[in-house]
Amino acid sequence: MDQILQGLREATNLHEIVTKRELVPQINLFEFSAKEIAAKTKPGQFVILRIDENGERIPLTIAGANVEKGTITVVCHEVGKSTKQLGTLKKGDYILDLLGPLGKPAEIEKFGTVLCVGGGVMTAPLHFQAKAFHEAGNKVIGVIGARTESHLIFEDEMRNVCDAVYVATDDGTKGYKGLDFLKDLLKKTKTDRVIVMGPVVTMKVVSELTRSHGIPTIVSLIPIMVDGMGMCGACRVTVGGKTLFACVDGPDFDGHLVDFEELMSRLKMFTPQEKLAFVLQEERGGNL
Amino acid sequence: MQTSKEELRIGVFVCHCGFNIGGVIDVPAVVKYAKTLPGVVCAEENLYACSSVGLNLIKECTKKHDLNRVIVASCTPATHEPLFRKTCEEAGLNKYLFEMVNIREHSSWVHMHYPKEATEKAKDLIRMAVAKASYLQPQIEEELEINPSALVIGGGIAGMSATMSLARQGFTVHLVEKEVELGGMLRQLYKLQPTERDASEVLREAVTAVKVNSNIQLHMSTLVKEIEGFIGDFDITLEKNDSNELEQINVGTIIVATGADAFKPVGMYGYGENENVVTQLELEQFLKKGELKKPNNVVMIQCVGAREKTGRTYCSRICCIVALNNALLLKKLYPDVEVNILFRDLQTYGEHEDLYSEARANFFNFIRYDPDKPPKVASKRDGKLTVTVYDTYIGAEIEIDSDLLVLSTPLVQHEEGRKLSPILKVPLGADGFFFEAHPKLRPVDFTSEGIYVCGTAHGPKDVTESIAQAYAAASRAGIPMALRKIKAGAVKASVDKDICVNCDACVVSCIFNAVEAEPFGLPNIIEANCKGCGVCAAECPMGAMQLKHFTDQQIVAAIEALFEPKKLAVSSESFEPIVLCFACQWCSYGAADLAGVLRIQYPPNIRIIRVPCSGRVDVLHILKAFRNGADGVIVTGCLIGDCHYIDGNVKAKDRVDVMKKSLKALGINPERLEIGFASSSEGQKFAAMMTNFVDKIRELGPNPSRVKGGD
Repeated sequence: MDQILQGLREATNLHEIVTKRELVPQINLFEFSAKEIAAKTKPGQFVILRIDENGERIPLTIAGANVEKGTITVVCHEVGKSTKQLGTLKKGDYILDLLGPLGKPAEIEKFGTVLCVGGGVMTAPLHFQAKAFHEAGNKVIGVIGARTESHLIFEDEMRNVCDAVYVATDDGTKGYKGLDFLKDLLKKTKTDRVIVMGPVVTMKVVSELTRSHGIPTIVSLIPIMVDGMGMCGACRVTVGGKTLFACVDGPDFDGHLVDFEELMSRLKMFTPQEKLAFVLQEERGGNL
Repeated sequence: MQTSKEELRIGVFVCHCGFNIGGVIDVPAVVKYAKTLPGVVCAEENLYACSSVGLNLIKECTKKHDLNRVIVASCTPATHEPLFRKTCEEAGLNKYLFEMVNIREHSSWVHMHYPKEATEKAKDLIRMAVAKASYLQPQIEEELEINPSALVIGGGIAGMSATMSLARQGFTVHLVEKEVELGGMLRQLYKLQPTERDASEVLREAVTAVKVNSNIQLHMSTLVKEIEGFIGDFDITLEKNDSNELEQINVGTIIVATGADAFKPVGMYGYGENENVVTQLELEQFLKKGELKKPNNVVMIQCVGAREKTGRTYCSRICCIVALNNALLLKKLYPDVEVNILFRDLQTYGEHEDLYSEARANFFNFIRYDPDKPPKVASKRDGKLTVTVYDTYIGAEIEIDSDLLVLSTPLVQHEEGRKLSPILKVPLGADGFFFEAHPKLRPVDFTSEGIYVCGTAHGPKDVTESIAQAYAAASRAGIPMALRKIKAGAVKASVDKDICVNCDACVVSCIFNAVEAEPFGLPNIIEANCKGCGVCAAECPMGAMQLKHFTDQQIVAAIEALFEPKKLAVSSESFEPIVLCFACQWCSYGAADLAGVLRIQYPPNIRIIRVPCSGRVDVLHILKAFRNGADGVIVTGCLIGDCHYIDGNVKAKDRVDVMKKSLKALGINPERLEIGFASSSEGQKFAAMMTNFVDKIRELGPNPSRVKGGD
């Protein structure tokens, strides 16, 4: 019976949750079985997953891949109806589909000194890149940040692949308060490349800080996305005055050219719908 | 929210207002009913709650019964809320623990022929207020210190006038000018209309006055680089043009007077190619310097680069006057010169009409051209020009040989103005000029508190108008600076950081820059900028953002209380719709009040919940209303374009549209939800809106849950 089920799952391409680990409240790490995706994944790419046939398509940046095990890792913050639903799943559960790897891989080369800034849940996929930069022979300086201490993730993992790690929080509960300390850091340390993954505001703030230093700054954009393959245009972003699609032209872009204001307002296009979905979910006592 | 330990001790005071309420509503019955409500320890009636006897009763009862919430059911809060709040304070109760119920304008005056229904409505409204009151919290009104000094950006005539006005009122003013000298565009002008006064005289007087006033600090060749802070406490970084030297100053208010440029019509009608083609501003300078070669035949073309179909669609207002002024000066200089003015529509408003009469008396040729067939200009080898124009009056093409073609071009926003807009976080309009908070209510304010605009930075104006607006801006800026401290209302946004998920919907939705995102997304509320509209609270997908005194908990409590006792089972024969109306405190609530004042009757099925702005109404509130048995919900706000919070009503409409789409899936007819707009002068419209909606709901029948329910 088990074998039949296994066969069915493989035939229908369902993906098993091999690992689920709560990193901090509301932020979960998932390892999904996805042999083909794992074999092709490179840092910087993303997947789109659907929990069930009525599921919203959730784009998530890949935080790691294990070719031998045939798994990929994503880390997801519960911020709305679908991500909360994902958070209720357990090890051994299946999700309906997983599409990827999507988007262009990050440019990993020996640049010299690379500063990797991660904010909140995006610190996990940032670590995937930081590791690659480290392996490519770069000096890697990591900055991990979050709104508050209890939201910091992947600190140990970052320390393993970075030559130095700085911690920052918005409320100053751990490490530096805010990102002003980067001004001094950039003055003191000759930096050849900056990678920022995090909330839009983090990417915007860091890009502004590096602009006057002329340091190439790469940001990873996650606008509202539907198909993820360049067909629907939902994820369009303006970069250097040109309209590009984050899914196929990105997700990495030059942070000095991105129109962050537009990105922020486009991300809020569906807030009434999001709120209603959330309210209805609450109405059902949080049950889905 | 409600502290669990605290025992609720609510006092309800129901006013007869003479016969105004008591003549329709059975006040003793309402009082008796109020006594049965949970938490109510005392309920009294007053002939006039607002009389000294009535107010004393409130104070005495508050002390006697140790009340911790006070509710007055009487007239509109628009007039009497401050009085009752003050009474509560005098009785030792925080004024935010007071709640007012409007049973006059919203009940007895509008349901005069339905005493029974009006009485039931009064009971419902009081029950809703009691439910809300149990979640009321004392609030502290923060005081903001105002630095009594101002920054004026731009040293043209508007900037200098505003500066002088403030300096004479005793405030320190930092005047920042990007050029080496003061004066702006005034330096280029010649004779000012309507008095024909020499611009250089006006300039000299203004500059001297500014330079000798010890309250004024001049920052020449300087640009504003960075602005941080809020009203009362703006940190400004100034940068010297040449040396890039930085200077820090702190001011309490900011006036934007950055002026405008005259549009240069390069490539149009030979401008830039033939030196005999000039703009009006250039002609004015030739006249001023006495450098003009005598022309024989002058052609002026109006609306060059203005009133276009796209882009510069606006009328620049002053060009007709400038053209006639220049042409008349020319004529005085060279009486035999022939003047042809090619126009689309000539407007010499106000006393400038005299110029037109004078031009007529001087036999200027006025030729009306069609913008779809604009004049054509050909240059001859000697630099002379042939202008061909189709005259719409005589219906024929005319050819004019000219040796001076003058183009009337509009004022336009300049590069520095465009750069300043994001630094100040204040908007530019579609025309590129700085955009005021409200054309009628706040014509020289920006939406951000403490920042004001004047002069041509705000749009084309003549010198007189620029000066008048500068004085207006200075007097507006003078208010907080004279007070030195301003008390901000306590109805402000607040965020529960444990629930917030960093989506920054609040940051994007706040038009007043009152919510900023910290570098990792944590929203930070700048209370000084918060206007208390509650749009952010409705936009927050998690319910983490709340508006104090209008929290979800308070609003939902009122909604649930409306439907509480009835359990609402209806048979279709005895169906009386219950319709919930959300009304914004400015316009639609005011319209409902006016309907009352004018005694315009509408069905007594409406129950109004007051919200600061229709933009505060959340999908949650609408859903709760339907879930609890509302037969209809109508959200009302200011007219589109007239929202006191700029676009709260537009956001409300978006939300209602989304909700309508979703209601069907929830088994509720989307027709049961509506949005309406009325200004506070539209009592008639409000009453009609309510009547029509109740009629519609009556036809639709009861909310399905009321039929099925009844358990």
